[in-house]
Amino acid sequence: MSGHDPTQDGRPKLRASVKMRYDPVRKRFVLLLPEKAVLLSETAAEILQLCDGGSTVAELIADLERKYPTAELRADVVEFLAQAVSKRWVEWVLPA
Amino acid sequence: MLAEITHRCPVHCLYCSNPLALVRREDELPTGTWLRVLEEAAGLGVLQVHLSGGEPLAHPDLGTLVRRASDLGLYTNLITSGVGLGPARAQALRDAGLGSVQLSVQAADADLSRTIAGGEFWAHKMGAARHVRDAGLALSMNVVLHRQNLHQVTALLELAAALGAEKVELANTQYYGWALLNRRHLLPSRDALLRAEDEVARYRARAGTAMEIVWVIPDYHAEFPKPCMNGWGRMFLTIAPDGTALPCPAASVIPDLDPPSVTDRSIGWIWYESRTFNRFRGFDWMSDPCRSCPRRFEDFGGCRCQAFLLAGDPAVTDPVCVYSPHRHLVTEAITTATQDAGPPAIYRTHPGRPA
Repeated sequence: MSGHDPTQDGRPKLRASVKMRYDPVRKRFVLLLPEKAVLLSETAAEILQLCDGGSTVAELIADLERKYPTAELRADVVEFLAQAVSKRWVEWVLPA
Repeated sequence: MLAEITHRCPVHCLYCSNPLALVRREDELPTGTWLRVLEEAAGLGVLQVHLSGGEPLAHPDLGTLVRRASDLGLYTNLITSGVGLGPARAQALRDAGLGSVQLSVQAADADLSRTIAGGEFWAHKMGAARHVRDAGLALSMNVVLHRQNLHQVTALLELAAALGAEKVELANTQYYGWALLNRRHLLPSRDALLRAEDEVARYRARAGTAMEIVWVIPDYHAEFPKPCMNGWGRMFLTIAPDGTALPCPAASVIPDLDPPSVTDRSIGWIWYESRTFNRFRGFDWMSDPCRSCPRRFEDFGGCRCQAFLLAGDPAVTDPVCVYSPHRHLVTEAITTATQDAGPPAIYRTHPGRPA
């Protein structure tokens, strides 16, 4: 594992114990984890919705860039995913 | 929201936090009422439901409640002793939408577990942990710490890691309910506590962040009170097995609280309108030293139940606080407990059942 960069070939996926949904009361997306609830920003929710274990980071960024064609997203998305992994929201699905 | 769906429980823990007077089976809410409560709670903006007890697995309709909560978008967490959690039940709960399981463990080995829990529950717990993981559920291991198991902190952390827990909560005993009754057997010395804290720090340094470790402070040994419930009527709501709604699970000890019940009130009315939930909400109810203290925004004056249990008045500063005129009561309790444990500890008993 050492030296391996999961942002190259890994597919980010919400962990099994994590659920995301729109909360009509707070009018925001919320991330629900054991004993924790996180109110998400719009961008965070956009990225996390794509973390289904099916797309690589490059594919995920391409998806976002179709929506936001003017933005340079890669650095921000990679940084966000690193944090999401360390907070146990997201895990990497690595090729076998 | 904490849903205490039954007070029935097979275990006899010396530190049980449930009230001394438990709700009897015949007084438990019908499942239909629980389903309405879940719906009202979701409508109000509740995001998480902790299904607890007693032992929630003792409730025959647990699966139905998990399914409804999950359908309503509520994150469900099961707080359990593990007794009665076989592979089929774990899988069924997972299929019903259960999010996570908090498993209580009393000690790092079968012998001490028997002494603390008052019976042969060790094998059930170890099996339950395996079934939770096999069902693909997130496992959190919870240990209530006290004088009889503090020396096992490292072994407990190693056990949690071996069981595949994502998280371990080391919660120093809080003295309510049965735990207050056995306080002289449970309160640790400062030295024992510092040794345990040091062991946790060393384990953290060695094992990294693969498993989240939560250390719940022992408030008797602290200078300032815990922000109990993160403030009265601010984030938490407990529903007792008979439908009594409380701002905190221990609050039934406060004598003139007159708490509302979900049997004749909506969750919305209880949260916003009831006298009980407004009684210690915010800061206006405070007197000095809290009233003029900048810490009030962090600790909300500490715990109302502890103020009543120790000082006889739920509206005074938590006696744990160094600024409290009642702090000597806490200091004396520590001195007494560490000098002489007194008569033998008493195992939790349940109404209508032999101990």
